[in-house]
Amino acid sequence: MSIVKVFLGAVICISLPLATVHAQEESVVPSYKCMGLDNVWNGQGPMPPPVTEYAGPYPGAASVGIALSTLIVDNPPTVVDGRMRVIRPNGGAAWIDSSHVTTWHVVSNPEAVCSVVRLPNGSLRTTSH
Amino acid sequence: MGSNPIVGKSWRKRFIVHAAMLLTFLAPSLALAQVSATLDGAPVQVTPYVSEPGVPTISIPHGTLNTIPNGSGTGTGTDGSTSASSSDVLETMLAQSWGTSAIADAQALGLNPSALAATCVIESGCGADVGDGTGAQGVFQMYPAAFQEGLQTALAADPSLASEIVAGSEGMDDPTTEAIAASGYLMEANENLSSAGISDPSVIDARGYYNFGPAYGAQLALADPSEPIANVLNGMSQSALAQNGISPGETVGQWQASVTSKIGSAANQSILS
Repeated sequence: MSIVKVFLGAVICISLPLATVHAQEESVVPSYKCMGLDNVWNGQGPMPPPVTEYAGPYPGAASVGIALSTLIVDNPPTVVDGRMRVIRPNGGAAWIDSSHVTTWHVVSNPEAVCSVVRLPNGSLRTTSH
Repeated sequence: MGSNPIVGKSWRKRFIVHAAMLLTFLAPSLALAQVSATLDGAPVQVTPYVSEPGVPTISIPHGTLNTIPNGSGTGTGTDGSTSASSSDVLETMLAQSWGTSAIADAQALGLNPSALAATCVIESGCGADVGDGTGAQGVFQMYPAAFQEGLQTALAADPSLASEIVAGSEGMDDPTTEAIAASGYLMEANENLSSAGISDPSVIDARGYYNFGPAYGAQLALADPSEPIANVLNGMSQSALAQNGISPGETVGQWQASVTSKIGSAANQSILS
């Protein structure tokens, strides 16, 4: 009987990971929320200049990238010296001037709702419906 | 202490049942390991060791296997049919008088020439200056600010390209100069998409950046294919979406499939060579 148990155990060990990989789903992260840039391209004419992401809230902090149109921020937002902390998809933080930030909304669909989700691989992204 | 034949049979049956279960679980992974291939010619013939007397020996040269490569890229969900290949977009650009120099310049900048060719194919068919009346110009349909920005990036990466450009605003009407500027802009796209956490950005990722700008570009590349693209392009009105070729209810995945149908397999290639 012990051989049968070992055999069954081996089968379960092999099959369980295969089954659970597909069962993992993205989950909403309530400690973060979506916000938007106040001046994104409206689809006509020249594009507005990109909004810079900084390494920190302090003056002179290095530029580390360009803000996305939909921002992931703390819920409630963290603002230091006029800069808001934004969370990058990999979970790292950057800072942008809070004057560029507004509530998240969709011009063509005012009923749209946005939430921040964590993917099975640990990264973050926004999703809306 | 002798062996019991009844128990022995039961053990064998159990072993067979469990072995079958194990194979059932393993079968999907075995299937994934299969690689699609085509056979160029006849299959390998069975050659008898001893031929029958009086029967002539016939030998049929067998074909070789051509494996079909698996797709690469970010897996952003495009599965639309393709009507073009990456070589098609390159050939379209090569057919232009400035095509050869544009490809050489792209390669000098470390850019995948198919990324540049895909851009001009979508923007103007690499031919006519289609001018949209809003200030976008030339075969790459660049706005003046993006043109200057791209040109600066390209020249900073390879100052020797300065000898090929037409200086001033006239450069926007010179395809060779605009191709260099577009190459620089695509290099910026690669850098910004990478900075947003997209590893090895693809041509279709760059397409979102080129078409809709830096803020939307990375957002599109990170979006779920099932998300309505209007929600990603959240600052655009319904009419502006229509002007940019977006249909009501269109998803990110459908937009990606639409782009892929125009540029074929180039869509999933890397921006950089």
